[in-house]
Amino acid sequence: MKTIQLYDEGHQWFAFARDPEKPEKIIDTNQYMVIHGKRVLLMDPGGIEIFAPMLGSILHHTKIENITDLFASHQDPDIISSLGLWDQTLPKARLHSPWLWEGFIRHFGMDNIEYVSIPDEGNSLDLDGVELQFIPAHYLHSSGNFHVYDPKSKIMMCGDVGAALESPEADMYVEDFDEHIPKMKLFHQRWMPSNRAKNDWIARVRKMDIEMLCPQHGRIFKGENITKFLDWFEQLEVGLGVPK
Amino acid sequence: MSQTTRGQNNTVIGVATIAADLHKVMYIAWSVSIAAKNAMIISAQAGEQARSFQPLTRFIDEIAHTTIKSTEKVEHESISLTRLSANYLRTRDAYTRFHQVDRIGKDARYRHTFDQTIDKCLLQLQEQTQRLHQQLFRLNDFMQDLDMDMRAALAVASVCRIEASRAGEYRNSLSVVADDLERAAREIQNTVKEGMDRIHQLTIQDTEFETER
Ligand SMILES: [Fe+2]
Ligand SMILES: [Fe+2]
Repeated sequence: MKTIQLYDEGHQWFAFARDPEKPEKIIDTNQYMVIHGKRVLLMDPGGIEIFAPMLGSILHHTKIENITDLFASHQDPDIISSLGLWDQTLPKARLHSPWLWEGFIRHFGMDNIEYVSIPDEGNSLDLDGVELQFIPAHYLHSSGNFHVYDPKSKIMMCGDVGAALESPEADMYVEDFDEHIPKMKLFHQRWMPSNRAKNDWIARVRKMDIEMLCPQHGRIFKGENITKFLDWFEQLEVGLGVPK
Repeated sequence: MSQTTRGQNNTVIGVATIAADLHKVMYIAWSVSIAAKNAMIISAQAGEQARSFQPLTRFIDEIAHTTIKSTEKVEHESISLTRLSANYLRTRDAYTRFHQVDRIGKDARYRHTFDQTIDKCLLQLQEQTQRLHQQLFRLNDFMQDLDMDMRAALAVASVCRIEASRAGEYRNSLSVVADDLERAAREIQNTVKEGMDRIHQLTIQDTEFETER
């Protein structure tokens, strides 16, 4: 599994992606990690199938006992079906996730980890002095859904928003935005159910100071590609699963 | 990995099938009990002609009831066995994946901090394997007892047939009871044999896994 360091000033951001050993038919996912001293947050730690490569990669950067917090943006299996394994690995950890999904996510197996419900309006996590904000992104695509924003590094982990279906060798950053559109279009049209939710999110995100927009699938947006993405997403009609 | 998955599925299917076998045994025993009650009525009607048949019908009914009661209890245990085997599979899967972590992260700076997790998982797996074996042995003992009971039932069926032949005009209807009992006992014996074979297969598989470590 590829490890990419996104930020390193006082605290660190990492992305884990493009696992070469991943079974062919499961969607490639990006997992994110923030390390600050002896506290570590894993974001959308992924499915059962990538648990081993994920943890194998993490152990290059931190001790197991430092992983104190997990975050699941929503309830999907590619986000958090590895929970049962993390539960045995990190019995003292806390899982921050939408209140809406507690009863559902627990089906993945959770005897030890503590479920910390995020209220609909969002809140934040203090990782030993580093503030990580849980930004509401409901209906994008899940009905209870959050993104993670770090005001210091200006990185936003944006779950399935900005996702692209990519080949396993694909680069980690969007270079040519126009070339990237075909890889994102169907995903957003079909997986995102609500134009209203989409536009509300875009309006809020435009006011935020973001240098990196990090989706759970595909490539990371930097600099002007962030604005290009917001503009493109704004004009895109979503929720196309039902014929007109 | 695929080998492990296949083994896991066999364990689940095996345990679930044993539970289904036990249910089948109970169903057959119920039919014997009904046959015994019919025989009681017939032999009561036959009066003097079926005098020596009457205590046999009570005996058959007793066999049927004992079988139903003991099977009911074991069927209940087999449900807890299913839960235990599901937990065991989860632990086994975790253990396999933890080993992958160990392999993939072999050069990782903090790999050693994961040792405790693997050790704990192994301990849990050993404990669950032991409990699974214990419960399977108990189930096997029960099956053996059931097999003995059915041998006794077959002996009773032969006696029934002899007594039926002396029951004059009731001969045919009482012979049917003897036939029913024999058929049921053999059917239960077959089901028990299949169940024991299944338990044996499960036990072998788990032993293989132990040496694998
Ligand atoms: Fe999703
Ligand atoms: Fe996803």
